[in-house]
Amino acid sequence: MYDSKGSPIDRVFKKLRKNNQKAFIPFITCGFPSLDGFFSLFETLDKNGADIIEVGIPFSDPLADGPVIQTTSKIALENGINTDIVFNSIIEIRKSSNTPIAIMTYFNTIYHYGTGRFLKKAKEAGVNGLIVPDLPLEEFTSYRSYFNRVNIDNIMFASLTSSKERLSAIAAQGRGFVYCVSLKGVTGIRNSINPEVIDFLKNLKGITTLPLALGFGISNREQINQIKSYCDGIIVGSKILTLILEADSFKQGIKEVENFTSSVSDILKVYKIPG
Amino acid sequence: MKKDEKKLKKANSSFREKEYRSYGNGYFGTFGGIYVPETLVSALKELEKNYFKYKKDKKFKEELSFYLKNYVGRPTPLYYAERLSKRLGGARIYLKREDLCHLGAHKINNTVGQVLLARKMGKKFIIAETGAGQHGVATAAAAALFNMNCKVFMGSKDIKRQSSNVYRMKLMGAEVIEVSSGSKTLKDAVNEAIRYWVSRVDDTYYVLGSVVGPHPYPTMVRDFQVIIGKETKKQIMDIEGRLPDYIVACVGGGSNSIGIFYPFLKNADFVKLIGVEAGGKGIKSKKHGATLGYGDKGIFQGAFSYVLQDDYGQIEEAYSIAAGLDYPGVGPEHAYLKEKGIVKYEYVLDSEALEAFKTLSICEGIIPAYETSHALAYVEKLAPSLGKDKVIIVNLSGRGDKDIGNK
Ligand SMILES: Cc1ncc(COP(=O)(O)O)c(C=O)c1O
Repeated sequence: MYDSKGSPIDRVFKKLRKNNQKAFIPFITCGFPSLDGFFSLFETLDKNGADIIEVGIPFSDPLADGPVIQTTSKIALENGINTDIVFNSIIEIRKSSNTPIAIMTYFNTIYHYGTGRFLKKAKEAGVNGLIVPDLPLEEFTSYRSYFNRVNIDNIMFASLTSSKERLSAIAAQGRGFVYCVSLKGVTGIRNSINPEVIDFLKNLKGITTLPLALGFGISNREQINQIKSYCDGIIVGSKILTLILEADSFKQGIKEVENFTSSVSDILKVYKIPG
Repeated sequence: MKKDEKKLKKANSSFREKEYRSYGNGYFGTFGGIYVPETLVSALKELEKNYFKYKKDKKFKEELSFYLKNYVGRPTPLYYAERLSKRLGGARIYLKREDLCHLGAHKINNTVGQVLLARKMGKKFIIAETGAGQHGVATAAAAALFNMNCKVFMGSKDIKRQSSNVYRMKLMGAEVIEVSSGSKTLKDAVNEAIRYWVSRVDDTYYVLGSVVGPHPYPTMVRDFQVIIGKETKKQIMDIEGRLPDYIVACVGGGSNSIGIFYPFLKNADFVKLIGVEAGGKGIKSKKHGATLGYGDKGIFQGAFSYVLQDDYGQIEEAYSIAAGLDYPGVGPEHAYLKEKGIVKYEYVLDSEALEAFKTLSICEGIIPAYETSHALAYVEKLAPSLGKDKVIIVNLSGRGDKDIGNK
C-alpha cells in the first residue's frame, strides 16, 4: 500500500537511523491553553527539533492519563474544542509544516464520529498516524479494515506487562513505530526510569524492526541519556504541558518549552558511534 | 403445575435461548470487550483465567456457599407485600429481600465472591470504586473478613451525600480515597480506581461493583449476582406454583437487575423483564441517568455498550438523586438485551422515586434505598393496571438507611 519509501513517519525514522539519531516526539493537546496557544506551541516544537508531533483530541474521561493531561484535556474541552476543530487546525498547520502528525485520542471519540469517516477526514487533513490507548489488539482487529483503506499508521502500544506473544502480534499489527510504555501507570512526570525498561526494549528489538519510541513519565535529560541508545525515539507530553501550565505567562511558558525542546533534541541528535 | 412445567420446558428450548448462546467470551453480541490500555490487558487475562478456573472449582464453590449462607445471610426471603398490593389495587407484588443481605444490599454477593477469588490469586491489596457507598461498604467488609488491605475510591459529591457509608467503610478498616475530578461521582471513582490499578497491577485486585467495565467483569459480576434470580425462581414456584408475569429491578450499572433477570431470560416470552433507570429531573432537562433509554452506543470504561454522550462522543455527566444510579454508562449485557428486545428499559423521575420510598415505608415498614425506590415507583404505575391474578416481583436491592437525611 505504501510506496517503497514508506509512510512519512517511516521516513523520519529511516533518516534518523542512518545518522544514529533519535526522534523527539512531543505530545500536546489541541486547544490547550487556547486554540491560538496550541498553534504557537506546535510551531515552537516544530522549529526546535520535533521530528513527529502528537496532537491530542481531548476526551472527557482519559483513562490512561495522569493529572496533567487530564487538566489540559479539560481546559481544551472548556475552550470548545471538538473533533472537527482539531481536523481544521491540522489543515491550517499543513499550510506551513510537513512534520508528521499523529493524533492521540480515546476510541469513543473515533467510534462516535464514525470510524471510517474519522480516518478519511484525518487523512484529508494531513494526519499521518493514530494512537488510541484504549484500543488494544483484541478490539483493533474489528476495525483494522478501516485503517487499511487509508494511509494512516496505526501506532500500537507495548507495555512492560505484555506477554511475548502479544508483543509479536503488536509488532505485526502496528505501523509507524511501537509506542513503548516506560512504566506501569498513567502518563505524568516521573524523575527516573524503571530499570526493567532496558530489558524490555532489548527484547522488543529482537521481535520487531519497527522503530521503538518510549513514552510515559519522561521529563528530564538524565532519563533520556540513560535510555536513548535502546530506542529510536522519545515521547514527552506531561512535562511540556506542565511548563505551560506552571509558567507565569504563556510567553514565559513558550520560552521554557523552547529551552527544554532544544536541550532534549540536542541529546537525541548528537551523532555518537555506538559502544 | 404440570402445565407450567411444560410451558417452562418449551420456553427453555425456545429460539431466544439459542440466540443467547453466542455468549461467554466477553462479548454480548457486539457489546462488551476489553477497551483498555495495553498495561491492563495481562491483568484482565489473568483474572479471566483464574475466574473460569475457580468458578468450576469444588472447594471454591463450597467456600463461597458457606459465606453466602453464614455471613451474607442467604437465601433472602421472597416476601409477599400484601398491604402494598392492596393499596395499589391490582397485581400481587412480591419483594426479593436483598435489603436483608448483610450490610443491606445485594452488593455483598459480588464482593464476597471477588475477594475470595483475589485471595486465591494471591493478591495482597484490594481496591474498589463506590457510588452510593454500598459497594464500598460491601468490599470493605469482605476485605476485613479475609484480612486484606482495602482502598475505596469515592467521588467527593457522593462522600457528602452518603456520609454514613463513608463512616462504615472506615470503621471496617478501609481507606476512603476522595476523588474530586470530573463530576465527582461514580464515573470518576471508576476512572481513578482504574488509573490506580494500572500502576499496581501486579499485587492489586480491583473489585468492580457492577456488571460494567472490561471482560471478565460483566460476566463475573453477573455470575456472582445470579444467586438472586436462582433463589427467586425456586421461591416463586414454591409459593405460587408458577413463574411471575413481571420482574422489575432498578438499573445503575445493572448488577442487581441482571442478577434477578438472568435465570428468567429463557422465559422472557411470558415473564416480562423490566429494568428501571434514573429519570432524574426529566429526560428533557438532560439531568438523568437513563443510559439505555436515551444514550447512544459507545465505548466507556473498558466496554462497548450504551453511554450518555454528546455529539462528539464526550461522556456526559449523569444525574440522579440515587448515587448508585448516577452513572452515564451501563453493563454491556443490558445493551444486548435491550437490542434484542428481551428486556424492556423504562425510567422514573426523582420525585416518583421519593414517593415510592415513602409508600413502601408506610405500607410495609420497609425503608428501601433510593436506587430501589425507582423499581418500586415503576411498580406503583404498573400494578394498578393489572388484575389480581398477575404476579410482579421487585428486586428490593437495598435498604434506605443510608439515604435518610439526604436530599
Ligand atoms: C441498593 C442499590 N441498588 C442498586 C444499585 C445500582 O447498581 P446495580 O445496577 O449494579 O445494581 C446500587 C448501587 O450502588 C445500590 O446500592
